[in-house]
Amino acid sequence: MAEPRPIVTEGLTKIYRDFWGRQKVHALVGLDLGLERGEIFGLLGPNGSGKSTTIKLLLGLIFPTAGRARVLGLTPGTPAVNQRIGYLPEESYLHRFLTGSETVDFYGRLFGLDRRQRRRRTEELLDLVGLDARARARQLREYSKGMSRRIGLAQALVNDPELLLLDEPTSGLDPIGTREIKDLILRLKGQGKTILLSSHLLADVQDVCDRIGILDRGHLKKIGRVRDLLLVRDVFQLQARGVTPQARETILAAVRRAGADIVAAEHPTTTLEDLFLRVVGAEVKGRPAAQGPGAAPGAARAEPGYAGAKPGAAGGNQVSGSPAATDDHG
Amino acid sequence: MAKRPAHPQPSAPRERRRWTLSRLWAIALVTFRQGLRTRLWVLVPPAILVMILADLSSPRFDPVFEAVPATISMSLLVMAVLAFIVGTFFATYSLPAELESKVAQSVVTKPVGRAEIVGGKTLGMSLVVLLMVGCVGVAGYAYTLVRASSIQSLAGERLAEATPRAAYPADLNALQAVATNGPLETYRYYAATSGPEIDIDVGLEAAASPNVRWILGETGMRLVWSLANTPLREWVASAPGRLRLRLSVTPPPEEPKAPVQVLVALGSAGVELTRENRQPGGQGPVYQVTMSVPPSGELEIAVVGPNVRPPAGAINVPGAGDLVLYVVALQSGTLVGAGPGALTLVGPAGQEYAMAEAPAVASARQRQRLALAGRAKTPRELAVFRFDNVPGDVLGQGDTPVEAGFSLDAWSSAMVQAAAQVVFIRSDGQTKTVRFSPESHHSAILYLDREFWHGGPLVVQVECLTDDDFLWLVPDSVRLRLGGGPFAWNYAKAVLRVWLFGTVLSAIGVCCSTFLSWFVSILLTIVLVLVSLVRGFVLEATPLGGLARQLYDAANGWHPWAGWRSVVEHVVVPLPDLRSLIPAESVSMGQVMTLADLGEAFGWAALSVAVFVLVGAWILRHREVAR
Repeated sequence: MAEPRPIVTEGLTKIYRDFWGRQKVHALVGLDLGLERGEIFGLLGPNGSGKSTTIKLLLGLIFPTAGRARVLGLTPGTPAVNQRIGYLPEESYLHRFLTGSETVDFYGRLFGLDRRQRRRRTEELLDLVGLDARARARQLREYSKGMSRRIGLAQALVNDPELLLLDEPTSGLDPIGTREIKDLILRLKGQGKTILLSSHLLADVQDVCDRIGILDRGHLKKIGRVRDLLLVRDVFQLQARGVTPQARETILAAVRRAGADIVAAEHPTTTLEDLFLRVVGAEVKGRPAAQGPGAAPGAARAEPGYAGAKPGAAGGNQVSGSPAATDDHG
Repeated sequence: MAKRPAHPQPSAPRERRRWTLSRLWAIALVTFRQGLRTRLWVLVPPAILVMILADLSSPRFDPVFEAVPATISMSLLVMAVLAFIVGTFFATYSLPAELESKVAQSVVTKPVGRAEIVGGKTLGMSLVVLLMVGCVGVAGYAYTLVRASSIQSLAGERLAEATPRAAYPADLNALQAVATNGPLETYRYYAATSGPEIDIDVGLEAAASPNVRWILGETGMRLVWSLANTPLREWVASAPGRLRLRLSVTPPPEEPKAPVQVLVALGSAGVELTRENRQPGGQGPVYQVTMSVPPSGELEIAVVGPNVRPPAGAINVPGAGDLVLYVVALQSGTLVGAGPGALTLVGPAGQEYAMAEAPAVASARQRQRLALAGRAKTPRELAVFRFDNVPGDVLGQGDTPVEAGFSLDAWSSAMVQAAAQVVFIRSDGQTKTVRFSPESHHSAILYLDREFWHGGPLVVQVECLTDDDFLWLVPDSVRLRLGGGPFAWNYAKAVLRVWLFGTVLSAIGVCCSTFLSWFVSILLTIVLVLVSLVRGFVLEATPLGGLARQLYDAANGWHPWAGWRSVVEHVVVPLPDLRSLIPAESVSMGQVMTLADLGEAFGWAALSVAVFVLVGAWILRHREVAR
């Protein structure tokens, strides 16, 4: 028997009501969604579009007004489902009077891990999210927002979940932290985990997600693979390194001869994130809070090829044209 | 258009997972840490200070006997108030704070049941209460020891001053005990296994008639024959019949030639005999007649039907109810008795019905209290209390004469300085007699030498020695008071009771906070606690009480197990009996709280907590954790 899809919703609707039962807000209207195993799915949308409502419905934190949701083939919110999922809330809502270690230990207890397992898992996870020994012994009330996100992620991973629901996972993080988290998300995907990610930081979603859905005022307006949705079909872009000015003119002339309109012919720019990471890259290597295994790949590698970097870094030439037929970009 | 399934899923998911102690304990530990790290413990030093200042500033009429009980009471009160504050304010705070700060979202998305959350919260609160009450308890114990050390020497000084002027040596016993052993003695009380039973010291002459049941004049005692299954009512329905009585009488020794007068009355079972209609000739029926008993002891009383006007000297049969015949002796010191066959019913046609059995003897009582009439001479009444529940070696062996205390509570008219005598009778018949002066609403402590009694069965016979006086007795009027073990252990048990009180209170607070905001939870919890403390009144005097009574009856009728009533009273209707969890005042007075009492309190507390946890879990499961 085939394993059920990690998340399935059918006509999922949530209407918030006031004290007297009068309808106040249509937060989500008839959401039909299905996630495949091992993919990263991004929920996009402006504030109030229904992203968090969707995640809360999938967690059983709120109850649907209509429709239904299945998580790992089961009813959301039940302990059987919660045993297999991890959840990172948008603000890392954790007990502020606990230390970092105590927090992970507490959530480990809730998953029934024994003392030895909890100790090992706490070490692993705090290393993974890059919290050093000093940070681990401090109460969460003293944590910066970035550290809170890290400890929030650690608690979400304590049970090695097969499905992760991440609400604004990079919110409040600096670019280095953002890259570390994105790296970590990709590594988790590499381990076969399914991830539902909600964010309004579009670049982050674009960097890590396989598919996205765009919500607006409770309605799912668009859904599909990131590549497909972002494809500009009537523009062709060629990037090359070591192009001389003569060769450049030749190429442009050839494009014109082919009857295409040249939209842009310029050196590409890198992303601000790349630039930032290149500038502070050396410091990142030595930064205590980023020395965990999860931090290393992104922090140490600030060059094209990383999933979050734009193709065509500084030094290359870029030509964009509008060819007659651009159905495939290879 | 949104696709809507035919069967929308229920609003709240069902939890099929069994709850585990590890998750419960995890939440309890976090709650406990929350209590510590939000610095709830800062309440402890002020509480200790309040305890000491309140104790020092309270006036004491008699420091030797009142200071230590008052100090213990004060410390327990401060602990109870502290438990109330923590239980009310912190217990109602924790869950709403987590819901408000959305921490609850992180918790409930883990494989943890709502019952585990509510139960863990309650357990964590309970640990906080235990820590804080324990700290104040330790301080209270230390402070009590300090107070006690000065009182022992004070008692010695008072004893030296009072001994030459003491009217009743027994009154000095308590002072002696404090001077010798200090004021921190604890006592274990043994209630009588039977008694009080009113008996008569009839004297030698009357004692020669062993089959005769005696009553004493002016004591309220009655000879009672049940005529329920006799043909008397049927016989006298058409024509008068007669009652033929053969009584044994002994006039008072003070007036040996005085005629003996008795009151003969017909009544209905369950209806108290009163003095109404004593004199014939009134408008209504006559049920009582006063007669002089001739030397032969033979009496005949005419009896007529219920609706017939009786001639002089005759009485009516009551129209309804089981017939009962009473005989009362009317003069002080008069003995009136009857044996088997003393009563014969005679019908209108001369038919006879002889009552083979001897009459019963009923003592005078007012509500639950038995009257023991005072009389200086024989014959006189005795109240007998039997103690068959004291272990044989309860006082142990040894040469040192240790005294065991006896607490005898007796009440007498405020106008009379009553005198009483107590005779302690061992199982081998050896006796020891002590006289004392009982006072209204005061208990007296009499002492037995350890050499006389080491334990085992004991009979305590109480006599009132003053004429025209009464001692009113209940089963607890005489109790054996024996040494109860270390004070510290007893105090610790009282602290545990306060902790139980705080735990149940926490459970109420947590339960309320599952569906209300913090502020409203506090208000509701306070209201529920106050109502719990006066639940006796609520159960008796309100419509809710009527419902409770119906539930009691339904519960008792549903199943013969008598414990249902107790369950309903303690937990189900309408709130837990919080007052029963607070240590009784007697603990402050040194009475040992038995392990059975403590266990019972634990049981009720656990049951109450379980009910509130389940209710809270149910509410939490059916509410949305996030908005």
